[in-house]
Amino acid sequence: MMTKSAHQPVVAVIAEIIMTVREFFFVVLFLFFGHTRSMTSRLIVIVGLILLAILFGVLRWWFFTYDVTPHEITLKKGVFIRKYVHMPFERIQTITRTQPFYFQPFDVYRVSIKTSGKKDDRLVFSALRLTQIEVIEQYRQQSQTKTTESKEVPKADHVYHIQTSELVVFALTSLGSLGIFGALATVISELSMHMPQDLVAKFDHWFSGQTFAGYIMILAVILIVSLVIAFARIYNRYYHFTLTRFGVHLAITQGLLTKKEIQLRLSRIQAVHYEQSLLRRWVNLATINVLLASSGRGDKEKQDKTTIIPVVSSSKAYHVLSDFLPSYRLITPKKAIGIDHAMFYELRYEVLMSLIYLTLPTVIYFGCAYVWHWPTIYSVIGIFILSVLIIYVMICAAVRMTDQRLVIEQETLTLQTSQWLTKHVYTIPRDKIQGAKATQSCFMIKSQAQHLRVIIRNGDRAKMIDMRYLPEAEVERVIRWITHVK
Amino acid sequence: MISKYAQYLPKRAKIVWVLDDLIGMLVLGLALLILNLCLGAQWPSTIIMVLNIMLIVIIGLVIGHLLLIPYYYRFHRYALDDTAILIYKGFFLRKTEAIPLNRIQNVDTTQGPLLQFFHLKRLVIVTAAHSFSIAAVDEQVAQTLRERLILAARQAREVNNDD
Repeated sequence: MMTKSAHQPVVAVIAEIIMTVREFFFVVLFLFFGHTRSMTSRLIVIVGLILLAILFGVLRWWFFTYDVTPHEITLKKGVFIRKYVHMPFERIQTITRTQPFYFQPFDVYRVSIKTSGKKDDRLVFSALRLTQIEVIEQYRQQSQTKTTESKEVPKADHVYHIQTSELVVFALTSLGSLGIFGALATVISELSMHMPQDLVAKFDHWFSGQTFAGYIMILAVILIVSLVIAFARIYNRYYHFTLTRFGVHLAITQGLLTKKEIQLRLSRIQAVHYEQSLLRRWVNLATINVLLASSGRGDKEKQDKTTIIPVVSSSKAYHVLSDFLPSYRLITPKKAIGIDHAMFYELRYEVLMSLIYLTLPTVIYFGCAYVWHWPTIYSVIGIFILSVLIIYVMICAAVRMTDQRLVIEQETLTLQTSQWLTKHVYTIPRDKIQGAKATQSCFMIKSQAQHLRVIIRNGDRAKMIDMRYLPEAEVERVIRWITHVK
Repeated sequence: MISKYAQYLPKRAKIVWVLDDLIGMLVLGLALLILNLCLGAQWPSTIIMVLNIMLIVIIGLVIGHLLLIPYYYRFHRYALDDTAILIYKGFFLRKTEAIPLNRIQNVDTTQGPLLQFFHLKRLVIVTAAHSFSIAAVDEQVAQTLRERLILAARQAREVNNDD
């Protein structure tokens, strides 16, 4: 059955015009601010751009047609170079629809369709009406549902809505890194009260012109403004976040100004990722993401992972999730693994690495400082910052070793680790593991320790998860389990 | 633990690596000669000095690599069993890579003139996420590996295995 080639709704022209304006923006900026431009020629440039954008917008819209059959979508696009893209529904990984605020009155969406192929193009529709999208989504669900399953569009099995209070907590605790800067600024200003007067005077002199306190004030204002902006961005992005499961399909809707909807099939999930920053550890909250396989080409929004639950109490997280990911064995690993004295070895390794990286620059610096008589205050500040950094690295390494867990249960590998104090738990089905790697330096032979790296797919790249200083036998067992996959 | 099926690369691989390094050194040596004899008079002396140091360091690295070839060869092994390909590298820093056969998406072979002369192929094994290579295997072995992998790929059809 072949349907007639269709154009996108006329509103798509707006999107095409905006796109053209973006593409030519820098050229126009260059022309506009050229040296010898008079007022009239600037006006011509602006009018020219608008006319060009409208012309291109209409042309692009006119030459962009598509067919939808029950088996595939076919696109024809391009003004000068015609391009045909076929996408069978079976290969679709995710369908994402976004609705910028200027689309809201027209009730159309921008739609982007991704496959799992690494080199494949994405299909991007500038604007489609809801009914048109629903046809595509229905065909996708039908062709990705086995014949034994019911072919009707199932009704929602489970729905999760984010509460406004949760969203506020989420936005507030997302500001972790900024919060640390804020805390640091407070500590420094506190310290400056209690430091010996001559040292403070030196600092004030060093920040010539401004007083030390003045700089702290400016820093604080910048921080507050960026906090507010960051809060607004997260609030806008996750506003009315809803997760729905229809049979073996998940749908996510979110957004205030720009509305976004993602549809995906459960079996396309490569791993479930539980994430908990230091700040959220204190308030017992966590974020749940999923890693998906998708083509990255032409992907403007380089999003690493897809959030399925922005914020949830860490004790209830897996209970809530079990409704949405019924086939996943989600467990919280308890028992620490690692050889005896693993923590000591890891810290020793970090110290050695820091020494290797820092010795040469330090020697060069002090050599230069000696030759050119650089002020001692620079060295003092430099050494202070360096020692703070090294202590931070050591703390992170210690926390990582304490957090490290590995559990194999039936067909699922659960890995827990932490990076820069953020805890990550990955729940990976055996058949989604792409490979594994064991490394052992000659210093680790006596203690029979090995590092393990598990490789899974995320987007169009590889995601490596590292476990350090595990017993050799355990690593061998894990690798044997990984390779004996159906 | 190295698998009992692990095998060394063909001995000819060593010769290929040595030739590779020698050719590299020849090219770098020529560059050094041209730099000092032809360009020495025209270019500023600091640039000549920096380029000289860089070239000599690179030549040093190539010589280091040349001397280490017996080491690389001795500890570079691969094993293919019913379920996976395993690759072993190094002695001071030991690495073992394992790829389940059913996760392999593609096997590419490349063959430069040197490898062609010695009837060897470089094997690049690609999964959905990453790729890795075996530096040199026999043409015959490369063919067998390909066939094995096509067989394995037939089972790994994603949609059929769903849920």
